[in-house]
Amino acid sequence: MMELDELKNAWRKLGEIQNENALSAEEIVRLVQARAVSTAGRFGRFMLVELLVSVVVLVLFWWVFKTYRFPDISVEMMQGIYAFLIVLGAVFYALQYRSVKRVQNAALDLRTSLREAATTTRRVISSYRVLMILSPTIGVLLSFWSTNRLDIFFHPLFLLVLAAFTLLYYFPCNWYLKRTYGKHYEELMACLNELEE
Amino acid sequence: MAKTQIDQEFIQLVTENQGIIHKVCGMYCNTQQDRDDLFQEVVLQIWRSYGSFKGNSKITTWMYRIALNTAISGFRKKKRRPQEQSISLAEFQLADSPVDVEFEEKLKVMYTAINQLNKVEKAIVMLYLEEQSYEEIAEVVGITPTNVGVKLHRIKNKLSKMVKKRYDGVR
Repeated sequence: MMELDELKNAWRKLGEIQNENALSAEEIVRLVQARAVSTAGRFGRFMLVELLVSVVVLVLFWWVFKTYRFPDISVEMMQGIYAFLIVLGAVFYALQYRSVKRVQNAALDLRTSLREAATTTRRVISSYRVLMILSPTIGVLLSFWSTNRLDIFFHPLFLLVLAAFTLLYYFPCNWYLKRTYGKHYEELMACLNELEE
Repeated sequence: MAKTQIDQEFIQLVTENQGIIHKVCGMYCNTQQDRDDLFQEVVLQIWRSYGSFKGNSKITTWMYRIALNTAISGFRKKKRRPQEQSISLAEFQLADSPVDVEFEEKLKVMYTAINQLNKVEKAIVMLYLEEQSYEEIAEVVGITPTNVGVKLHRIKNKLSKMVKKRYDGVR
């Protein structure tokens, strides 16, 4: 039965073979010049898709509003909600992108790097969750308040519709978060726990 | 990044030590496409961190740190396709072909066992196989040299059990 130490010779031999097939300096230059995608870049792509989906959803809602003309909800109110959501979205994504750019610092030791990456990823996920739950409610509240129609906002039926709407998009968004950033966070934590055990 | 901006010193460093990156890529990726992507990403990270290298540690230790960090803490999408054989194993076969069939078989079993370890354990095993000292491993991984010893002992036991189980299964 082979022990780990016996593998050292074979490992050395592997290094020798790799040296024979080594890339030339020109090939390395070409690699450096090519656009490699880092973790931050991949997260950046996610954000771009999220922004596009948000725009499509907003346009869709505007179309529904225009087509079905809800009584008591004026165009000004809708404009107020949209203005709030757009400003909030812009600030949110700017902050998220700043965090994401720092998600990986390869020059640190593995443990510190994992800890920093996990903290940043957790912060990104938490921010999304808060945004998902609070932003529509705050947007609607501010808009109704600015047009002196808070009576509509506090109407039980309206609150019920708002809560249903929040739940309706919270679950798919949460599923998406778990599949993307969440999975990565779990992997980072598994490695970190292994190191800190 | 313009070609003229690329530091000759950096190119020389990567060219001379590319074996480190290839080994890390071989350890953590199963397909050639993934290995190429990771190789490129590691080179990019080395380029980004190159300015901050102060020479406090050996350049190879520093490169291991960046390569392993990129492989372990980086985010990569899992591809749903059948797993290809790892390049390292394929190269082992080339290296030792008809000379010693029994040795090659043992090698395969051991390598399969290493592939089943988790990412952190793989990193420690790899640095150990590279004959890095406990202090150097500790510097890359971020734990104490004593802890490295403890972890290595556990990993060796785990590998022995895996290999034994495999042999028992064959018999």
